[in-house]
Amino acid sequence: MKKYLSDSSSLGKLSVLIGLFVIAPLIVLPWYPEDAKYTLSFLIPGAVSILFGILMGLFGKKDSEVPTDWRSQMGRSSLTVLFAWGWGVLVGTVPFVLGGQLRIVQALFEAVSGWTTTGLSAMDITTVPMIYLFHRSFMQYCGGLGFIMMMIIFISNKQSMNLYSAEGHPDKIMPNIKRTAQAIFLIYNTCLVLGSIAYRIAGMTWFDSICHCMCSLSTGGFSTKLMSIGEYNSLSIEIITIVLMLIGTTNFAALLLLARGKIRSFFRVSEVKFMFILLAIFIPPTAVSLAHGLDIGLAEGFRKSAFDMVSALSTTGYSTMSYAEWPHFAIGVLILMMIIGGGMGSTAGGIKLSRVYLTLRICAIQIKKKLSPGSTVKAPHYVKSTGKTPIDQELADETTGFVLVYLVVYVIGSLVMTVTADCTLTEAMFDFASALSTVGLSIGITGPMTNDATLIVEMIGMLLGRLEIFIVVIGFTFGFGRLKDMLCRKKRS
Amino acid sequence: MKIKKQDTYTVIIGCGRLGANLANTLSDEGENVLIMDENKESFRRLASNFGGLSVVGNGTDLDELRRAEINRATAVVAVTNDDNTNIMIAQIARDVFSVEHVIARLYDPECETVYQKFGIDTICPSALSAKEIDKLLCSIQTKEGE
Repeated sequence: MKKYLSDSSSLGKLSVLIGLFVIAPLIVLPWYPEDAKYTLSFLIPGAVSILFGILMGLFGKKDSEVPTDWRSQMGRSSLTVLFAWGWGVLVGTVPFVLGGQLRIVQALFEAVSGWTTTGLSAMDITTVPMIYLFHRSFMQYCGGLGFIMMMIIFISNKQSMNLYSAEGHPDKIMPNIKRTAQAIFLIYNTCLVLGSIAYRIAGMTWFDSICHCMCSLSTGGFSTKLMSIGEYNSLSIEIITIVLMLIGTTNFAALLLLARGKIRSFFRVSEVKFMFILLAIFIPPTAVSLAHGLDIGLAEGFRKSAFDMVSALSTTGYSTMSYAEWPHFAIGVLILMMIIGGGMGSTAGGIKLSRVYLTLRICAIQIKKKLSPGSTVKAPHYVKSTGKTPIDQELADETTGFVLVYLVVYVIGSLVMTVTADCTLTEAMFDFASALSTVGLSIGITGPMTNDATLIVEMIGMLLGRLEIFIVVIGFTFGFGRLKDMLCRKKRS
Repeated sequence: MKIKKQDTYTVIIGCGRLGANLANTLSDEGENVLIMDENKESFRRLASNFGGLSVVGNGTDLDELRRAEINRATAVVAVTNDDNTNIMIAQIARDVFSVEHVIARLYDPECETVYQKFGIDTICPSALSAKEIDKLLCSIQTKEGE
């Protein structure tokens, strides 16, 4: 039975898993019986997805029959990842539509925003039933790890590693793929339990504390309150949130170092150092700018600046206030933070800290090379959580290539947004950075009143950002290639 | 059975054709594998679905071995392209880290007897091939004799 399970097609397993995720919110019913009328809206899409998955498992192509040459495997894994995310979005959308909560495009937007851990919302939170709030938070919690990771935790087979790297998880922390996934899952859940208890002690209700904790760990940022974390206006809740966001944005391998008590090697990791340096450089000037521009005290400025900087850099997107009156300098720094994003191999989005760090290092190396005599030999390296890694040509090419593509997508998206949303360039840049880096802060143009075109642009941004662009390109190229092959064969026969 | 599988942890030193092949097979079976090689380029021999760890490092360096948690390993396989290195790694694994099962590959069959005294299992491709070829020859001769 077990062997049969692990051999059946990944698509089927993913579909069953997604179905289970969508049914999961029903567990809040005992506490909120008044939401029982929405049971069917969750049960129908979940059951359909599970049934579809079982059928795929029974009649679909087995994983072990898949050809094993390198090129087609890469394409196939990318396509599987794309399918998982596409199907997840579709199934996650249905409950909103069946329950009569949102229009179709808005519901799609909400589901994309949930699974990609963005946190932009087209819902009016004040009137939403509890079960939907939980659905949104739970989507982010699962999306934080990714569907493939979730699947590997339960069942792994020969294809697992291909899929795992295709979904953009760079780290192996255990000598076995299944155990790597399980270790990450354990860290993640332990943090959830501890975080929820901390929130509860700080004064939230259990429901709010679990929802908020799920969303800050996954660097998602959906809140159950209209004003987000700002609603509580409590310093202790803000501090807990900052800590959870920092945990969420740190790469899992580094977290494992910390969990094992290797604190010194944790702080030696380049990415972690870079994150703290960035925060140390940008929080004080922003605090001064806020204190000056909003006419609040310096201490208050520091509190706001620290919270929002961490929220943007970790790509979480919790806020304590509206950004409409913020000075331009502070807005600019926030955009910069959002684009830089969180750690590689964490739940965060953005260009990723280590890529930005590497790009800066590569620039520095270039300049040094120009200044020093031609015969100088250098062997630069940086520290990953697994140990020292040399910065070689391949890594440099890969990094700069990704950064460039990311920025190109960002510029195009921002320009399109200025047309669709009819807003200023700053507003468009802010909200598109927020979507592309899966942050979820909004300067005010994304909300229940936003038009469909803008929502679609942001949806594309979120998906590209979460799946790291290249996978989408590879998957589509492979998919079109297969389609062309099929059409040609039909013509001939 | 399942618990036992979780506990095995194989460290392979040397990512040549043999090492990579072995690592792929073990990883496919869902075992814990770590493979170490001095040269990063060698890891391209691993299949894309290799799920274990790959570490760049010298297999005779105690610090590198410690980083690979060799003391937790249930088996160490030394398959670099040099007999002396293999023997040295095998001895380190056995005496310094007291690993239970140590296997080394030897190109030169003459060394074999010496190292069996150390309690190191050795695999000698040339001796194995000689045996197999001998068997084939024998079967041919018996057929002709009939």
